[in-house]
Formats: sequence, C-alpha cells, structure tokens
Amino acid sequence: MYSCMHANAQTNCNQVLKGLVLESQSGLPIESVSVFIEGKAIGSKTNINGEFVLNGLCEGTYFLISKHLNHEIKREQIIVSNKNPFKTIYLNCHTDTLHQVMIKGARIHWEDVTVSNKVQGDDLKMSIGQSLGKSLEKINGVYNLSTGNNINKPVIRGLHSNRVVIMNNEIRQEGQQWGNEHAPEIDPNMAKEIEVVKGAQSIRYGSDIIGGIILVNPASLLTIKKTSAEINVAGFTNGRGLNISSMLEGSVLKNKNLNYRIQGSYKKSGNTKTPTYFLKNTGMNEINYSVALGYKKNNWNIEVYQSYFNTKIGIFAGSHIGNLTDLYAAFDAKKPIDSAKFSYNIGFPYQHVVHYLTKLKFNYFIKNTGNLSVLYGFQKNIRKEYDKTLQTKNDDGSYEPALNFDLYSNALDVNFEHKTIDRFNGNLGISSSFQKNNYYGNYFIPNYDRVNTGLYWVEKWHKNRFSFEGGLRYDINYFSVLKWKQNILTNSTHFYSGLASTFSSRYQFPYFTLHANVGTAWRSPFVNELYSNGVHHSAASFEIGDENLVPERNYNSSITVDFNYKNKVDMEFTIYNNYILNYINLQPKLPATLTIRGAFPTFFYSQVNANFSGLEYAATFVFLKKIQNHFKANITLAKDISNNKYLVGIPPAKIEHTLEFNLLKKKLINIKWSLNNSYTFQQKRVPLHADYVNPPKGYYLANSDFILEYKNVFVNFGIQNVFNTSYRDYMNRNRYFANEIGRNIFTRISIPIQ
Amino acid sequence: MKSTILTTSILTLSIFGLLFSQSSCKKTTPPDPNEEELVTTFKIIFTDSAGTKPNVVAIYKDIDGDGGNNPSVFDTIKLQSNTTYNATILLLDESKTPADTISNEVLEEGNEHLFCFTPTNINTTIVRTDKDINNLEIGLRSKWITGAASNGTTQIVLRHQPDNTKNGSCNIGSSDVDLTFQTILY
Repeated sequence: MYSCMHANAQTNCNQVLKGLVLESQSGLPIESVSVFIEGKAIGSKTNINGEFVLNGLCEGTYFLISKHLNHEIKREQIIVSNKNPFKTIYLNCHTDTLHQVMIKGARIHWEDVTVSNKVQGDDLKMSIGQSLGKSLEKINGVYNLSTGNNINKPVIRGLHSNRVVIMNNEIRQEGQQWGNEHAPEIDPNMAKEIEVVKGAQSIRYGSDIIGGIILVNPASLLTIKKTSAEINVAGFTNGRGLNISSMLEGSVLKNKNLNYRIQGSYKKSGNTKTPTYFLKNTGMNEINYSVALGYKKNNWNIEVYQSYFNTKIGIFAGSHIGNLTDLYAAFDAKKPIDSAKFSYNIGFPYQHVVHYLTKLKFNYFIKNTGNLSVLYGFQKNIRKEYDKTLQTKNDDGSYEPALNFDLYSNALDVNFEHKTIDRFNGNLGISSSFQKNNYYGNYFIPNYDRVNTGLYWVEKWHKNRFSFEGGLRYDINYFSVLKWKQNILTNSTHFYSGLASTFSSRYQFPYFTLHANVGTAWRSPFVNELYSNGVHHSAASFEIGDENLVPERNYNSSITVDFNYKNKVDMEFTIYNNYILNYINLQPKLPATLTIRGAFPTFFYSQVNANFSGLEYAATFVFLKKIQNHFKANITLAKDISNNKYLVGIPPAKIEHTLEFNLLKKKLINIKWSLNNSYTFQQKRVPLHADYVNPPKGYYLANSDFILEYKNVFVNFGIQNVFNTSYRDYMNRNRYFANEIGRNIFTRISIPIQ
Repeated sequence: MKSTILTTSILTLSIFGLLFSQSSCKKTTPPDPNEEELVTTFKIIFTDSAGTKPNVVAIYKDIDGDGGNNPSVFDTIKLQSNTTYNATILLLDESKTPADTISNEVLEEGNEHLFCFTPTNINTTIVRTDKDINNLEIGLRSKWITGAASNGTTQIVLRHQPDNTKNGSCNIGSSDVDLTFQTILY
C-alpha cells in the first residue's frame, strides 16, 4: 500500500540490518538466499542457519528483496533506524512446483501472528458465479445460514449476522445484517482475495467481533503497471444461470501515478430444481459495478472507490406461509404443493436490494515516523421486501413493499502505523461511524440514529521465531430510536461502552508452528433485539424485542498448530473456546400470539450465558508427486449454560475429502481433476420444543472438478451433487419446505487480456 | 503539474459527490401505524333464509393488529338448530375512520381467494354460494344448514392463492385469515 519512497542521504550511514530467512510452511532456515536492497548495491547471502547481515545502510526506508531458486521472490518494506533492527523473512515455495502442498482454502498468512484463512487464486476462480457466502464455504468451519439457494449468510464457528463483521474494501459493510434472510450486499467478483479471521483475534476493525471477521479485498490500485483486462464467464445448468464479469485497469493519460480500475458483473438465474421438482420463484437477477481511481506521489497516495450492487431475489413460493398450520402442511407435503416449471420470472414474494458504497482513502508517509491514513466511507442501503397480501395492495392494483428500509452509514477512520521501534511495530487509531435508518413499510425495526466511536492500539513484536501481538480498543455506542408506542411518537436513547482486547502469539519450531490467542470483545444489543415486534413470515414466528438488554461479552481462546513435513504433509489443527456472557438469544414464549391470521409461536429476545467450543482439522498429503489428498473436518459444540440446554441453529459437524490429480503439468498447460466427497452429520444437539421439526438427516455429497489452465486462461468444468442426491440442510431456512437443489453442471472460464 | 490539477479536481468532485449524496439523508418520522393497512376485524353475519329467526353476528376484533394488545372481541357463533342461514363475511380495517372494507378487495380478487370452513363436533353443513370470474367458489357468501343442537368449533380460513393457482382446493396458497370460533347450536 505504500508508495515508493527511497530515503535520501541521511546523516547516519553506518546502520547494520541483521536478519533470518525461514521457509514459511516448515519454519526451517533457508541457505543461500540473496538478500539485497532494491536500487542499492547492498546485498548478502544467507548462511546455513538462514542468517544474513547487511552493512553500511543509511537510516531510512527501503525495499528489501529476497531471492532463492526454489522459492517465490519477496519484496518487503523495511525501516532502518539507529536501533539496529532485526528482520525475519518468510519465503513461500514456488506455487508451480509439483511438490508444493497446501491445505485447500485454508492458507494461513504465515507471517501473521493471528491465524487467518483466505480464498484466493484458483480457489476464488472456482467460485465465480457463487455468492460471497458460498465462496467462503471452502474455508473449514465456515457455513452459511441460507434462505434457498441465493441468500447466504456466512456463519463462523456457529455465529452470524451481527456477530460477524464484513469489511468491504476496508469499509465496514452496513446493510440490514440483523436479518436472517438478509445476505451481504457484496459482489465477490470484485475481490482479489477474501480473508476470514475467526474469533476475536482482530480488534482494529471493531470491538464487536464476537464470531469473526471477513475481509473482502480487491487488488491494489497502486501496483497497476499496464493496461489489462479480464473476462469471467460462468454458466450453470441448474437454474440455467449465467454470470458474466469483466474488469479493465490501467493508467490514466499514461501517467503511471494515476491508475484506474472499472469492474462490472451481471448475474441471472431462473427456478432451480431439486432432484425431483422445480422450486417455484427461485430465480434472481443481479447487476453490480465498481469504479476506482488511485493517485500516488512520493510520500502520499489517494484512492477513490465507488461500488453499486443491485439484486432482485425471488423467495421460494412454498416458503411463504400464512401461519403455523401452513408451515406444518408445507412440511408434511412430500413435495411443495405449489408446483412449478422452469422460468426466469421473479414473482411475489421477492427482495430487491440496492447498495451504494463510496470510499475515499488518503495515505501519508511521514519520514522516519510512520504512515498515516485517513479513510472515509459512505454507504446507502435500500432494502425492499415484497409480499402479495391484502395489506400491501395499493389502490391501483400494484403492491408496495411489506418491508422497506433505507440505511445511511458514514464512517471515518484515522490510522497511524508507527515505524518499528525496538522490534515493536503497531497501529493506533480512531474509528467513528454515524448511521441512520428509516423505514416506510410495515414496522419491524424502528427508525434510529446510531453513533459509534472507538479508539484502538495494536502492537506487534517479533524476535527470531517468536512473535507477539496485543491490542486494546475502547468503544462507545449510542442509539437514538424514534418509534410509535400506543399512538405516541416516542424517542428513546441507549448508550453502551466497553473495552475489548486481544493477545496473540506465534512460535515457529522446525516443522511446527504454534499459534495461541486469547481475546475479549463485546457487542451492544442491536435495534432488532431491542425493538423488533412482528411476524417473520418465512419462519411463521412472532418476534419480540426487549429494550432492557445489556451488551454481550465474549472470552475467546484458541490454539492452532501447523505442521509441515518436507512439503509432503501439511496439517492444521485448531481447538477453540468462546464463552459468551449475556448472549442474546431468541427464546420461545407462551402463549402463542393470537392474530387474525391464526396463532403464531412467539419468541422473545433474552440473555443467557453460552459457550461455543470446537475443533477444526485440515490436512494435505502428497502421494507419487501427482496425487494430493485433502482432508477437512470440523465440529462446533454450543450450549446455553444458564439453562443447561443446547442452542438452536448451530451448524452440524462435517467431514470432507478431496482427491486431486495433476494430469498434465507443462510450462504452458496444466490439467487437474479433483473429486470431492463430503458428509454432513445430522445436528442432534438441539433443544427440545424450540423448533417445529427435527433437524434433517445427515447427507453425503460428491462434487467433481476439472481444471485446465493454458497460459493464463483458466477453465473449470464440473458437477455439483454428482449423484443428484435429495437432501435437506439444517442451516437452510427452506429445509421446512423443500429439498436442496440437485445436480448442477457448470463451466467457468476466466480470460485475462494483456 | 497537469496531473496535480487533474487529481485535485477529481478529489473535489468526489467530495462534492459525497456531500450531495449526504443531503438526501434527512430526518424522518416513522410511518404512523394508523396509516398502515390492517385487517383488524372479521365479521360474519347470519340471516335466516326463512326470515323468521333473528340475525346473528360474530366478530373478531384486534384494533392494534398483530401483537400488542390482545383481541378485544372474539365472539362465539350461536346459531339456532335445524335452520338454514345465509352468511356474509366482512373484513374491516377499523383502525381508520371511516373503517375500510377490505373484503371488497377480496371480492375484486375473487379468483385469488378462497374461504375454507371446517366445523368440528357441530352438526352443520356449510356451502359457499358465490363464484369468481372463473366460476370457482369464493366463500364471502355461504349457506349454513344447522342440524341438532351441539357444541364445537368452526375454523374459518381465507386462503390467498395468487398467480392462477386457485383450483378450488384449500391446500394451495397461504392464509390471510385463520380464526377458530367457538360454535353453539341450540
């Protein structure tokens, strides 16, 4: 992110830089690595212990290049000061070496103290045409809370919605994320990588990260070197879906300091089909674009980004029910009573969501001090949910949205990254946001203004094989709510404040890396938890908020062990525990609410102490150089400690195996075939009488992928649900009404144009 | 120099753009729930086809809609035995003055609506007597033929069956009204 800033001649030019070069995955020292300063005649080679020394450096900022035959070249910024800094460099194996093994979708950012997983490169290309949530399922332990096939909300270690923060190009995504059927309004086609940090490891982006954080990042604007374009096309048989996205980037007026990127995508699909019947009204249309402009000068740079997201999603007609009797009738039916044929037509009920995001970022490098960045974000989210009922019909015969919200969000972040002082490197900053919500349709949540301000300080320290990171963050959160109460317009306010902190450490043994993290975060009750009052149609339940809820606080701890043996075996094992004090939970309430549409089971928001713990295991083994075996398994165990009961809606355990064959590997051409088998267990840890029906049975699924890479052209041909298995998924709200979709044959093509 | 000017102008433009988009965000009061369309009242009026016995009216009324206060009226249907009644259903929004007759909309969209009657433990036969444009029954008007004295319930459901799905069956669609009245034949 920094622009080039070579230090000018300084007074003190006798500085010594000592360092160590390790292989990122095994942690073993690498001998004979050329380490040199970019643009200077200062360089050296590592000894048998991976150590190097560079003499005669002036104080200032440089780019350090590390080169080795079997490893990827690395370019890193370093700050040389009179404190005689020490630098540990990690090199990755060449990604095109056959011996290279990596856990699929679980690539750890090795040098980071915190443990994170990324979807990028081929994994991301193999997600073209999928929603953001679906793309993230490649990461072990990430599930989706779905409503049908098109609405997916990521679930991290059993938590979702307000407990999972999503950063959309560095701006905290603000939609109506409290709703179970409100998916993130983000086009994954714009991303270069999607990163997931589970638990409360990351404090810079908020003190309310109870479940985890998802960072959706486009490629950097500042590193664009020439004009290039990319076209991605994907087609799917099930739903006869099409996804087209394209991107163009380059420099304005041949000015290498002024770069742009334009990106757009279009998505359309019709009624999807289970193995035996079509699902009525399950089509969707989506159109998105983004425009970005970046300018860099010697010691500063600026970036402007604007994105637009517009989606219309049909809600499965069979899931639109009047009351509990309808729900039971729909559940008892072997197939939905409303039959359908294939159609692209989207009828009632449907959602129409438009999301605008504007980002303005300014970065200023202060010589010998650090880097200052100022980030402003504006978002407008317009959500309309249409329902064809007597109440929503206009006099002219058209229908007005049953739910209609406008949400405006402003964010201002100022971050200062100080230069390394005595091995300490850190960030401190302030982030504030102001938000305003208006509704126009039926009442579900009130109008509100919300102000949040947080101060944070995160420091990293590292020496040789040990790294440490610690952070503190203090936040205040203020709500002003305007709502009708018994025909009187009332204004009420809520104020919450609290401290969050996190401590992580990492030690690199030969072959092993050990990560340990403890952290605590807190989250204010949100307006839906405080004030919701109404019927959730897809769940046939009446939900009642509680104004007197207090913030929830978690205490999170996790240990991750990575093991890599000579690039033949690569393993990752994590054990975690997340204790949540005053966990806000929907509890059943008696008697049911009597309405003119019948009696609705009633739930109210209440607080319990809950504990979430789990295991995540991923491994890759290489056989005969051409065959890779990828294993994944995870389980989440959640309990309401206060009442000694299980919790509703926790993802079931899952095991997965992928067999990957490298069929052909040449300089220009690369052909792979893989077979993925997974088994999702039945969730048996559920509370009694808190759900209408028992969780669906466990199911086995097979997927097959064929990948052809020729030069930079990427082709992925595959089949999802190879055996056309009929199954229902516990995390899909449509499980009450219909099976999941059946076999889906697809082709994805990605063509870069230089 | 040229690029500096260009950058400055782009920056200025984008800041103005942001300010402009901000101005659309003004303070609003939430919609008055009194202006929302509700179905607050269900009324069924029985008249003796022979014209001799008194009219009977049964009402369900919940002025503030779903939740909040409990329904203020939920009558028992009391009909005389061995009588043939003509019944008419009215759906009203009485949260407004004058009250809005929602059942007119049901009638206009007769081809998308169907009333279903399920008597339990009472000796009565209920027959719908009105038809929609496709010659399918609606049920806003019906005939209740009562038998011997008995006690039980009658479930009255209004099914919403849009998109040409209506075929006379009660299984299709979703419920706009679902009320179970205590019923006495005496």
